[in-house]
Amino acid sequence: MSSLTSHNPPVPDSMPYQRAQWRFERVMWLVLGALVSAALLGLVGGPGPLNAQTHARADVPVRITCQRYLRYQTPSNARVDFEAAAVQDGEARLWFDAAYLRRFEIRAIVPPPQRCETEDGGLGLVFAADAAAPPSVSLLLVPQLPGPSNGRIGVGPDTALALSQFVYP
Amino acid sequence: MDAVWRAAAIYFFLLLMFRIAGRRTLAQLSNFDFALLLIIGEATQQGLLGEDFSVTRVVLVIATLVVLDVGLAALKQRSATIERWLDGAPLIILVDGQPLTDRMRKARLDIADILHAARRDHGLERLDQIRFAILECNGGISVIPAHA
Repeated sequence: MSSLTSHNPPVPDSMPYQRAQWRFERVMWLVLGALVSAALLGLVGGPGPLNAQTHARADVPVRITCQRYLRYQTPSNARVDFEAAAVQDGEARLWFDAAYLRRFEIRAIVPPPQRCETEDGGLGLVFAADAAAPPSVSLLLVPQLPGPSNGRIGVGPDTALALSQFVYP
Repeated sequence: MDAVWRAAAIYFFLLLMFRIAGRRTLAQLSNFDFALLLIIGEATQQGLLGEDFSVTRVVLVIATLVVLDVGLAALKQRSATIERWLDGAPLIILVDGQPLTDRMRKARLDIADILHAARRDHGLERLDQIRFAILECNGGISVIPAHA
């Protein structure tokens, strides 16, 4: 029925608006479906096949496994695996740059470090270590600022890996 | 600032979700829909308050929501277009006993919904006893009998 005017309808029959609204609904359903799919893949934070990333470089004796996408004030696990070259005099050192520390709270460290040091504005954590069995350290990190995050983690300011992450609000 | 933008973001997101869910979703509160609303309430609370449960935070969140609500109400009064996009518009779905099936399909309605409203409100039994059936903004169906 193309027009209801001849039937004297009790309310205005605004079909152009209705069609536009239905189109908008359908587009939004697709957007929501894409959002849910992205969430299942880990692209909006949380576990997912596309969210885990491992950082390594030949000249840096640590390997870091963490999430690429995180959510504001939501804890996230990261793991640092030391190589034998990182162990000196029974100790292994993990260094965070100041930019990283501004954006992340290190809520838990397992195993706990023997001591903490500061260097170049960053934070160094010193762990007991055996070169024959280099340690792995688990970190519980809580993002403190939304947006892109570019920080460096390594054994020192000159031997560090660049981490590029995104924190959703 | 955190409290304000969280409240505003969640308010507009919920507004958008309930608009695109369709009017019948709000009108027909089945057990599933009731459970869904409860879960949405719980999820929203965590997003609004985060880890800050201070009275100040609660006051800010409530104040933001009220400001947004009053602001949108004022905007709706000034603009019929905004009102239509925020609240929707009534949709005629049956005329002189003839269902407008294309419109009903898009609105996810069937004949049984119209007959139910006709029985409940006017004691009518058949479609030919109905002059107009209208899907209202709140998701309810208004029936105007043929001999009104």
